[in-house]
Amino acid sequence: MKLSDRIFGPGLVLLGAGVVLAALRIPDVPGVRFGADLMPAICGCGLALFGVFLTRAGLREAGPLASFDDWRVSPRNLLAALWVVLGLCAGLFLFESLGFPLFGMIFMAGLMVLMGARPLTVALVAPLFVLALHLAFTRIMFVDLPVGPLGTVL
Amino acid sequence: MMSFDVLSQALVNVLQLNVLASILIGAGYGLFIGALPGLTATMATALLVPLTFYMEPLPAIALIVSSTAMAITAGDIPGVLLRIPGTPASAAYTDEAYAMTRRGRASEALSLGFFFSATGGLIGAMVLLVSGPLLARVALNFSSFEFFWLACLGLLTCALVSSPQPAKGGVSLLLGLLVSTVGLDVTTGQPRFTFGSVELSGGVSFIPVMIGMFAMSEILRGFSASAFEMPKLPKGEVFVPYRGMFGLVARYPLSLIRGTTLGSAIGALPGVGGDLAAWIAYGMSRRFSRTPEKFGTGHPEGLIEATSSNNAGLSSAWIPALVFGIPGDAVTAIAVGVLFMKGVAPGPRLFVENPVMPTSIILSFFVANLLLFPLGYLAIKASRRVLSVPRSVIVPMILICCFIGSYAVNNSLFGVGTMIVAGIVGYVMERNQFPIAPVILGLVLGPVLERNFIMSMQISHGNLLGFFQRPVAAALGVLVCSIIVFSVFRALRRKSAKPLSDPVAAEPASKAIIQEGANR
Repeated sequence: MKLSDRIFGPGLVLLGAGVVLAALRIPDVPGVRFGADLMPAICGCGLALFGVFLTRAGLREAGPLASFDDWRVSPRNLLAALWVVLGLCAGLFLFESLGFPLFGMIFMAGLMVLMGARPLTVALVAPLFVLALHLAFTRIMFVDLPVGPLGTVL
Repeated sequence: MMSFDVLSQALVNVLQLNVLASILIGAGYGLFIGALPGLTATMATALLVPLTFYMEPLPAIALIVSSTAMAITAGDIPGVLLRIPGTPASAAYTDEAYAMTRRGRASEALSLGFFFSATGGLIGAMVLLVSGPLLARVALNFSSFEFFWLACLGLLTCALVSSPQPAKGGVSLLLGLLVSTVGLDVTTGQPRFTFGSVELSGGVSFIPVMIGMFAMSEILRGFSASAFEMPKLPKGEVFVPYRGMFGLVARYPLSLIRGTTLGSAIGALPGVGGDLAAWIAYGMSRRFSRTPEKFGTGHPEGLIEATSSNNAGLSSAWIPALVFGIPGDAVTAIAVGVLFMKGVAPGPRLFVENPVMPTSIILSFFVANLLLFPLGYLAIKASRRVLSVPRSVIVPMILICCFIGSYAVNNSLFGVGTMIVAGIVGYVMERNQFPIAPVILGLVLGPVLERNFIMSMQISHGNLLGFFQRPVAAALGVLVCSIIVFSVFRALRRKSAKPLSDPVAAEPASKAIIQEGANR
């Protein structure tokens, strides 16, 4: 996914301006001359400045504003990438209810299938690896992972 | 100089079973990750960090040290056998190594990689052991002004080396610094950019950001570039590790000395790291060789110089990280972050207050590099098998580790969310030539830079000339300002010389690969 500097440049100018405005809204502490607003304000100014440079460079560029050519090579890879991003996002909402073992197995098995793994490999590797990881984190490192419906079995 | 007591106590620490086990596990893990094309040493290190929560400081750092050293070295395996560099540093000499394979000398090329990497690493560790305490003694007299300029130098150099377009390196750096300001202010304790969120009040942890930017974005990039499809392995040759290596040492001693010296010097520069050393060493070897016409045809001379500089740079990159607390590259930035998490603040005071700790860390380099010899033997024997592990198994495993590692930071899904955002942002940045390493360096060094900047501003009452009043600070300040002026001047001259339609396409291929390297 390639985006032109004509997109990044103005975007950075806006981001920089937003950061400077937000920094200016940080209340002063009495007696403190150089406070919490200084560093973010410098970063904001810098981002806006580089945004101007990139906008100038972008205006001299030819070509489209955005190009997704790299994803056209393999639809299967695109599906796998979507599975990764959407699956991980779904994990944010389903992790507590499904628990790590079930979520991990579904996520891993789905990705393995999309990447062309053999069914037998999927059936063996996904559950074994997730369970091994679950046991390592909960029993050895004492991380409190949600177990979900498989809690009665584990 | 360091005392014998410190050295012996450090040696006892390193020879503890848990430290040795960490080194061994780290080396095995690093070998596996480094040997797989597309999976980098930085990614390997990033994925290890959640494990280090549950470890003592020394085993934790030993784990990182050995996995990185092994991953960087094992990066030669796919380069030799498939002509795919496993790590960016090995990209410098992949063609030369593959040319040896085509001539039926894959075993020699692999042996050479491991043997001279380990030798270079040992010499780099010696440089670190000798120079660390000496530099720390000098750095004890540093005030906030010197530390501010050192942090600036590290960040600036990293941003400039990482990208052929200085503006994009600068953007990456500022984004890292900006993210480091989220949470409570380091001096006044005021909340910044927290939007009422309790999680954001604690700041953005560098661990999920790093896992996302290096591991998840790398996997997304692999999907988009179809980088997970592998060519066939060469067949036929029987691998006999390390045969004829001492003969090569005797034939090319200058290459070994030059490579390790160059690697140590370049690696020690704050913000540069060791990756660049291999590129320069290979070029220099060709320049000074008596037989430059043999380069590119499977000639070992350039390989010796480049591989030895590679690991020497890796060791000496810890000089700025341990002595000044200013990491030289992404891996040492991660390690410095881990040390801070463990309550160990790297810097000159550490060498005075707890000299055994930095010495133990340095000694772990020796053990890790010594282990490269026997493990390299096994790796060469097993190299074909490692490369035949299907990507459809490895990639899902890594992603599950990313998820659970980000969750384990605070036992919270906030870390996972941070990792996903960082992964997508990292992918977009990398695809558009924004380097990633400066983001991580900015995030780790941000609080150090801000604390020293605010303190210096208060001491000098806001007078910027105060930043140049102490001799060392003035020298560092002039150096930083010169680099900025030189970069701006060079960028302006390049633009006026050739107006381009696609500035990225106009960069030399080698520079684009160096940028890839710096991203790791």
